[in-house]
Amino acid sequence: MNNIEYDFLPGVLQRFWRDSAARFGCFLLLALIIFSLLGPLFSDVSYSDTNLHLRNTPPGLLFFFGSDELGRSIFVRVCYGAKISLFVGLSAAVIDMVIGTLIGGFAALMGGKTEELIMRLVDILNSLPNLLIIILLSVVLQPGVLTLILAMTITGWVNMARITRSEFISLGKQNFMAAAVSMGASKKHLFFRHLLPNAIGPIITTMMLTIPHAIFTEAFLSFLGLGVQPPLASLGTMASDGLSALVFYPWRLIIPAMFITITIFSFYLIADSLRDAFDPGEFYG
Amino acid sequence: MVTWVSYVVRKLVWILASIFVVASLTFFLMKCIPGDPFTQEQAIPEEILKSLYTHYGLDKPLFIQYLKYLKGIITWDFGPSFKFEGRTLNEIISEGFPISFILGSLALILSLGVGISLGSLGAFFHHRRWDKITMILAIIGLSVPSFILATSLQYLFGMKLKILPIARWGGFSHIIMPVLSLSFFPSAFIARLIRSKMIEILSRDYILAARAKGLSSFRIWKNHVLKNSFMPVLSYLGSISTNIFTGSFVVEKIFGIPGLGHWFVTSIINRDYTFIMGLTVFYSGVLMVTIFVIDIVYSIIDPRVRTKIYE
Repeated sequence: MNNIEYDFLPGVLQRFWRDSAARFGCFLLLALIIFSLLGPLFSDVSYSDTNLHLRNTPPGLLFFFGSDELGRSIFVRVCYGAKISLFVGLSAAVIDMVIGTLIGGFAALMGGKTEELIMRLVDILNSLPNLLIIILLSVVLQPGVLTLILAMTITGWVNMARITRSEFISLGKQNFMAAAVSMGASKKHLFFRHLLPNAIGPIITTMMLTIPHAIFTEAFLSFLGLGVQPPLASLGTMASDGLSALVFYPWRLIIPAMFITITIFSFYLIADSLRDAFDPGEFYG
Repeated sequence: MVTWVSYVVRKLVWILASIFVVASLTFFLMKCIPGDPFTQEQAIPEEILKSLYTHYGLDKPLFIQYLKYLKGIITWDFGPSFKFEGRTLNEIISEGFPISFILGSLALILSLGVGISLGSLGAFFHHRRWDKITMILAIIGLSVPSFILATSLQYLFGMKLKILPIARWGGFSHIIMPVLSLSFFPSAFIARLIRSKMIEILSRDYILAARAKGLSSFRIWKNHVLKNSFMPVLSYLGSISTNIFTGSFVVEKIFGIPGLGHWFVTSIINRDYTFIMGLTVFYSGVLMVTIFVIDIVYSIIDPRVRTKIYE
């Protein structure tokens, strides 16, 4: 067991880093994070400062990325919006992962009636049209960052639960599990020491794929006017605001749209390479 | 045959139950909203409010309203709009659904075509330049949200180059941009599915045998690979259709197409509760029927799934 723990992760990281797509994705993501954190330092206005004399200024020295209909700096707002989008994406993915692995793992370990009950619930949630439920919840609750995360995680954990359960069940048939059970290992010990470490590959890959999905959903909901409310800005709300001004001030849409795409793109690159790194057989096959 | 019939019946019951859950969920969620549809900045006189309530049946107890709502769904009568005077949801559905349906099916056909071609290209040139190019294209396809693609296309082809009409619904030229923006993500998704399945199939012995007897790559693709690699696509076809459905919300709004998605977005913005409820139920119904049909087709092609309860 120790052997696997010590050799497994470095091998994965090595394979991951050997992939040029992975390096590019990490670089993009890092650049984006640094930009969103340090960007505001290069500007003396805040994301909500308005200046009605300088409405819809094209990109230039005054405003790097231009300004919007209230004269707010799009540069600063994009930095701010990127932070919110990343925060929403990451937290939704992490919450999904924790709930999903716990419930899916619990179902797999308990078996019998408990498992059947949980998986029935999962099946029901899985067959409902996800985005419709999210839209409904966002209509009902006060729109905002927390509502977005809540709406996404209420249905989001289901996928992770299914993957964890099927992974645990196939692991459960292996010899080391029979050995652990026969030595009288407790369920908790089995869960955290044997099953979870061995299923970490699919779990992390699924989580990494959830992040761009959540960022996309956030942008989509904000585009429908159900996202964060002014004066806060996410990339999706900025793109949505820019839509009405597309003919005359295209930068108001193009710049946030570019940032959304780059964010999602970098996460997909990383997630894809991670999956290949965790599962080399498929990759080199 | 008996197992197959019981499989179909089980699926059917499952769908009805799911639609019931969605309908009830929608109803009670909508009742949780503070205020009512007539809450406005200007207060409405008491008498008018009362007669409005009676007109829409809002003065009855909640349970009676719920029963009436369920009855409405069963008898296919979703009721009048709170915001658009004199419009009922039935009218809107019969006007809007055909348009959305045409748009959606064209997008699905296009994405199947593009996805299968790109995926095959990637698999047959595995580890070579074409593979790299198609896979980078596929990841880009996953990364660009449909509303961004739609607006970019609109800006480029409609406003700058003036080749295609900017918006509205009419002839063939109006269809091109919406369908393109709807099919981008599904194409990429299908391409990735097809590629990974085809790579697996191409390493099988029967492909080696086919190559050894001198079949051309095209013949191998057509006769031995295509059908087998289509199964995972079929099993994901439900979520692909869901994606096209929801994509149509924003795409129809951007291009000003009078389809159902456009109405859904408008009713969300207007907080028109009967429309939101009715359209949600209608959409889920359509989605579940789609998934049902796919499941049945799948069970005809691959008999193994009939006996399994879970996947």
